[in-house]
Amino acid sequence: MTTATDFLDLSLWIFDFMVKFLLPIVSGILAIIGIYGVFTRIPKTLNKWVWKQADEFQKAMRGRGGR
Amino acid sequence: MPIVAVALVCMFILPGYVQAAEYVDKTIDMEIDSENQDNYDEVVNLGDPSTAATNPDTWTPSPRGIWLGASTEESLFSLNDILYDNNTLDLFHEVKFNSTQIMNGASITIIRSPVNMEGVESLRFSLYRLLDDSGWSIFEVGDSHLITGAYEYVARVDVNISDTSITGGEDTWIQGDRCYIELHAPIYSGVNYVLHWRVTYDIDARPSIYLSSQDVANDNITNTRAALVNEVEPDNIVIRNYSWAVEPGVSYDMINGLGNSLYAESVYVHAGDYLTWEASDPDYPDDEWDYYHTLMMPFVTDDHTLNATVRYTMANTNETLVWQDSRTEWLDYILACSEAPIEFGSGGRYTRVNITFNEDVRVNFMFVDTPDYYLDDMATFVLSGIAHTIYARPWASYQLSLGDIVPPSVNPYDWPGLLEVQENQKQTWYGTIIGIAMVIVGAAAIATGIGIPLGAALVVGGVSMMILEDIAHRSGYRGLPDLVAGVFSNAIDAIWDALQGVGEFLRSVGEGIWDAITWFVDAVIEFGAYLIGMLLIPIAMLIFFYPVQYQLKLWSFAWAMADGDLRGAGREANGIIRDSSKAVRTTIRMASKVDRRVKVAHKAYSKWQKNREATRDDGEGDKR
Repeated sequence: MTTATDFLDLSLWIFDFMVKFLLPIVSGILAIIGIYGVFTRIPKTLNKWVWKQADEFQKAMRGRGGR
Repeated sequence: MPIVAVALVCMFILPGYVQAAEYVDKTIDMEIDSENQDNYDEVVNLGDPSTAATNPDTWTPSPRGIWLGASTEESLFSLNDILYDNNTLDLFHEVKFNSTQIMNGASITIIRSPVNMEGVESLRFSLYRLLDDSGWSIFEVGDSHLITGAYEYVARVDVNISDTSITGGEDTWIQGDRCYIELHAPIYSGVNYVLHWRVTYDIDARPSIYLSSQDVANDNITNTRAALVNEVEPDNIVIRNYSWAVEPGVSYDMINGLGNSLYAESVYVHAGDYLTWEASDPDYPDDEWDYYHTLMMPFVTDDHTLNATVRYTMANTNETLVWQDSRTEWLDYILACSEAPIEFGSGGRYTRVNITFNEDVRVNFMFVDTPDYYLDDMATFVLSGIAHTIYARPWASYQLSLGDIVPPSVNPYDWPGLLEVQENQKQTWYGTIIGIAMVIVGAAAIATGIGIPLGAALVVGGVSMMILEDIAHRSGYRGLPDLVAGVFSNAIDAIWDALQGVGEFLRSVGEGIWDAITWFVDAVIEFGAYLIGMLLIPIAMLIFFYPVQYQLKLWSFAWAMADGDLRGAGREANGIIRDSSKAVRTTIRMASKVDRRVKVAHKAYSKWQKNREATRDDGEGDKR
């Protein structure tokens, strides 16, 4: 005999499954992917910045030596 | 006046004398029919019966119940043999009681042995019940003798020959040169029994047996046999067989009656005393390995209650406990149940039931007669450390059950009322309900712009669920869970049914949606739990998808920052802020809508109230 309470149980299970189980796991996966993405991007960005600064510096030095 | 006095004397006193005079003379007719009567050591003088010592007079203690035996004193008959170290005397005697003596039978009988206890080293008494009239004889087994023929054991008692106490000690006692055995065993009228005494003697003893000149139980059976094994030397064993057409001097005092194989033992027990018997572990039906064990045993006490502990153990030297149950107040019967299911074989082959009493009380238990060849069915009361054996099975039921069993109340006020009438099983509509929830969430997702593809997928999925549910019901299933089971059990049929005609399918879609709507209305009215359940599912989905979306945006922002793309990061941040403010705005809008509705409703109510008052005023004005 199934009752309204059975359905409520099923709903609670779905709620628990999505909110307590699936959400932390998906958040965790997103966090791992996100952190990985950040760490792979930072060196490139820093590298780009350093090269840019070096170019600027070189340019400045060349300009000075030329005079 | 004197004439009146004489007449009164004649009328009242003389008849008494006349009546008494008829019973003064008592005649005892005795027929002594024995080929060995001249061998008696002692001959009773029957010349004057009024002064002769009768047999019951020689009993210690005096008989209490129905006494049976030779009425005259017995004679002592000594064998000629002087016994060596290894010796055995087996004495057998057949008897049949009749119903005028003991009615159905006796359950407690004191039997006085015919063996003269002088020089006796050990004594064992056995009682056999003959199964047919084919007769019996004796045969030699090792250094002793047994009977041939079809028989069953009724009882076997090893007598403690140092026990001389009648009231204390075991159920046997030695008084003078006689041994008395209080036998707690069913003995019937109309059944042939063989009594067997196995005696070993001290060295140099000379066996002697009391014999009677009378037919003890008036059964017309004088079948007495004795066999003596005397080991004169290891290679010289003398065996003598005696067959006498006289009765041994056995007599009976039957102190408790017997119904048809059922009788009660009434015992005064003290705390710590117990009743125990051996049993065999029950066989289990094939389909289960674990069952609860239950013992039911009725009893009678003055106040209907009994404080006792039931223990069920393996019948080995350690008496390993299998289960136990205890109550301070068993009511009219013990109904002890194991706390947990017992695995098959936990009790081993042979087990033991032990009912320990936790109070001082007189208790009555029922016993049933189940004689067998191996003397299995017997129980023992251990009272103050001394064993008293009952040669019958305690009337108890041992059963297995899938659930535990508790004693029901015998108070009519505790009896359960009528069972609540239940409707037939309803169809489940989980598929439809979840489908509706998915449609709502999907529609919300599309409307709020959270995710159009996701919302569309939810709507399509929800509609599919509702259609599936409807197909399930049409196919005779109660709902989606059954449909899933049905698909596994009969996949081709289910598919075939599902594909029966496009028209029917389309109609089913329409009816499915209609069913869903009507159900939804009914459910809202009838089942609040369904409503809460339905609300929970979209809430769960929103709680899941919103954070996921926000996290994605957050990481996009973080990646843009890591890329050094400050403008992109700004865009992402703007997006987050926009969505947040949209959510806040939506909430405020919904709240203001509700507020507006409330205001409109309040305005309408005020108007209605005003009209009502105006109408009433008009009515009252008309009256005036």
